Amino acid sequence: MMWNFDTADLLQILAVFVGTLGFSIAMYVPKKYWILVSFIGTLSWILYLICSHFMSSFYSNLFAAAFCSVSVHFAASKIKTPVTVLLLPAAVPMFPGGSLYYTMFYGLSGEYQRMEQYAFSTFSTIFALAIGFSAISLLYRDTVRKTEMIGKTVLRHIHLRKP
Amino acid sequence: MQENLVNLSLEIGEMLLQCGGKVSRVESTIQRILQAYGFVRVDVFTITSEIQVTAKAEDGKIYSQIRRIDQWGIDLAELEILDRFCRKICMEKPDCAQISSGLMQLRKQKQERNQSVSAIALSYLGAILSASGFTVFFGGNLMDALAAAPLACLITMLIKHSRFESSNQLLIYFMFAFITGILGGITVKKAAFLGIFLNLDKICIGCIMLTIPGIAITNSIRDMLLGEIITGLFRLIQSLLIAMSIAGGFVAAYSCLF
Repeated sequence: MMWNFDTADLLQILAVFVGTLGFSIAMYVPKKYWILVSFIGTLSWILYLICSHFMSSFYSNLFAAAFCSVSVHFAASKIKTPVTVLLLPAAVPMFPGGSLYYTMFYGLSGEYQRMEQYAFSTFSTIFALAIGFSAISLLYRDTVRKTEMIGKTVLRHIHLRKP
Repeated sequence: MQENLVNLSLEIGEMLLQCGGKVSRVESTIQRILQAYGFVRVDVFTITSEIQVTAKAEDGKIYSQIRRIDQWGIDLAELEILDRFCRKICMEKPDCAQISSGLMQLRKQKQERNQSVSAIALSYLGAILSASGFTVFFGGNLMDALAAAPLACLITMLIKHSRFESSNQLLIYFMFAFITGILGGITVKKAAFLGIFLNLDKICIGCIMLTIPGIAITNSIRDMLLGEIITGLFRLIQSLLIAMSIAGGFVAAYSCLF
């Protein structure tokens, strides 16, 4: 096993917590969800860090996004709020804001080789995140619909047999 | 009555889009509301800048209306409140006057919520926390995080006092980036005189996270994967242009400084 968190990693995880908290305040998330959102965001980032020791950044992002999306869907159905309210701030550390900026910055200042590197990493991150989010939301929607349907048929059978 | 209902459902859809709701959510909300009031067929088409509704009533009359939308923002508390409001409408089916007074009340509450002293203080706190957090996240030290805090306040103040429209937003972002870059550079130079060495790059990237459309660009690809191609393209191109104008502002500021 080769993952050993050093102080830099710990500092980064702390920074993720603070940053996610800040974004959930800046996006006007209701007060009662701040800590929940920050925890989900931090956990997804820790998962990304662990994954990135074993696999490429595409798959680490995909798994982190899927984890984030699953936990957000679960929490949102428990506390009955739209998924977007929790998902946007919780996924902030994974969104490639920094590399998107560097892509444009190096492009405009004429360093095309570095721009290419950043552009590739930006778009692979974006695609990984988008696939993770959309796959989980589709899966979740379908399973919810199916369990509802199964539940209804079971109930109907019970009602039919009762009298 | 029915024409007014279509109008009110468009109003709700507009408010949902303006506080950061997904396009598919807007479509399904309008559809659910109108179907709850007995419309036989409801067709909704929404992209980021427009909502179209054509609804057929039970007596065969057809109503169709369009709403143009040119302001966006993210206000997730408002989104949650609107979601609850829509569920209530679908359950209880109040009449038009009640819906419109409810909407008026929601608008007023939003204004009061966003203009109270504590809300303004909180939004500055949020900006400071996120800018400092991401300064450290991208490898800055604690002094860099401290230096990012006043710049974050400045950006929040500028965002609060400027009016974003689709015609001027690129220039506004360029200007923000330019001002941030110049002030950040001056701070770093002054600090170097006092013997404190700061990383201008790390400070700037922390502040940039407040305005860069990283969320919007990811959501645009997600929208496209889920079949909303036009919305996705609109958002993608918009966020690429915004990112480019922010980077342009910093390039201009750096070339003024050095």
